Amino acid sequence: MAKAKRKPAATFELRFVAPDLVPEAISLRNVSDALAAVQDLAVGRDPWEMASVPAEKSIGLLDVKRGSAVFECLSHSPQEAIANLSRVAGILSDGESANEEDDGDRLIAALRPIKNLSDIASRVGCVLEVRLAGRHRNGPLFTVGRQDFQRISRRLMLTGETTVIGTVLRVGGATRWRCLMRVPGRRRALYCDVRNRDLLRRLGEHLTENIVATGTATWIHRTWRIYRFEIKDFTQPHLGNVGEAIGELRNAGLSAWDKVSDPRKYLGGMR
Amino acid sequence: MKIVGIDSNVLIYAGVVPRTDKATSPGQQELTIRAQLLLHSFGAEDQIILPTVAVSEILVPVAPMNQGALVAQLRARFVCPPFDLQASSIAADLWAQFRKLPKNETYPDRHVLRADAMIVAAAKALGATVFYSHNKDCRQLAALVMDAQDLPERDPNDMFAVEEIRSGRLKVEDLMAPRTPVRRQRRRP
Repeated sequence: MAKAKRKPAATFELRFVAPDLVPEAISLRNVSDALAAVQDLAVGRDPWEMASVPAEKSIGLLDVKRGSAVFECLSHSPQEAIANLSRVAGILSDGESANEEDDGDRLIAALRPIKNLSDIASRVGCVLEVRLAGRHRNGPLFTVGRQDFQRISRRLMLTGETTVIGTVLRVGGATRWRCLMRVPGRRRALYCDVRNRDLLRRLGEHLTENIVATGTATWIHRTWRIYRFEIKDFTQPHLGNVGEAIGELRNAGLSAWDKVSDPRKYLGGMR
Repeated sequence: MKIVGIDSNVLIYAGVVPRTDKATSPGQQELTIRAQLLLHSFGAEDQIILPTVAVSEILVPVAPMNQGALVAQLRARFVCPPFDLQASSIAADLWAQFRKLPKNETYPDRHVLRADAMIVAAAKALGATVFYSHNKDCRQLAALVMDAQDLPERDPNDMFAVEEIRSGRLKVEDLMAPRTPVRRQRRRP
């Protein structure tokens, strides 16, 4: 029988102190943000200058249930949480969650955290399991390993060149050039990658304006929802004054249709 | 912002100067007015989609040396998306839905459906919610995935515009210019 690793002694503690404060009242986000900030303080890391904490200086948690590392969590909406987590199991197993009833946005929302979990599994060198508390005999709801995101993205996603119409909301980014676009028919704004700095600068000159962006999209192919989009170029077509527009189009060559005696018949013959 | 799709016939009719000889098809002037009324009704923020399949139809009678210039003009004024992967899926779906229609509602010619399906699908893929065409069959197809409309018979913003054009009090060229001040001046005795 393998000998259990001895628990090392703690270096310091982080306490959230308030009258009547209980651990389950603090959201995981606040806990993780606070722990990450204290880790930065302990390591002496400026998050703007150093991308990540070196492994040899990182801070770990103690007094977490051992075997391997079990973090018990409490949801304040347990039924919804279990339903959502069960859907993840479907996505990971056979992609069934990506059916027509699903609104697409929900699937995209699930894919990003799954990617993060896959990345963490790869960095830590482990598999992450989510189990229903107190039902360990039933096995995990789902597990995420380092290859899982790649596996489901091969099954669910499709990449190709396309055009997207939207309104530029924000541009920028420290590590990657990004553009946030409001796209009609999409509930959530679309975070786009931007090909280069010049393009980013040009986009920045058109904040709150409509653009027609061309680039490479990765779709969830069952719903044709865009998961990722890289802007390679954009235009701003504008009809303008109809009289001028028709005049210029005619000068450019549209007037060739004057010689067609019956345009309706001619068009019918073409099709 | 409204995203609308237009068929090639909208632009062709809008740009054609009707001839007065007998070879001109009956009602050509009427179609020109209606197509121009439609273009005039779009707002400054609206995005007008003219798929590249429709662009190719517009280019057919144009001399090869002028085609590039016309494409550049079209691209400056309309959204001209190519037939991409998503459009191919929509076109296939349109085809499948079309086959389920009753016989009296289907096209006699399958090639017609192919071109129409590609145009409608490219507009739909880009988010068009309305499609305008003077072709009834094309509208029938577009209606499977979005609102489909014929060329308007009246200017929604000016109920007298068409009558004034017909009577000669208002010329098509005037309608195309910024209209409110011009039109009101013309109504004065």
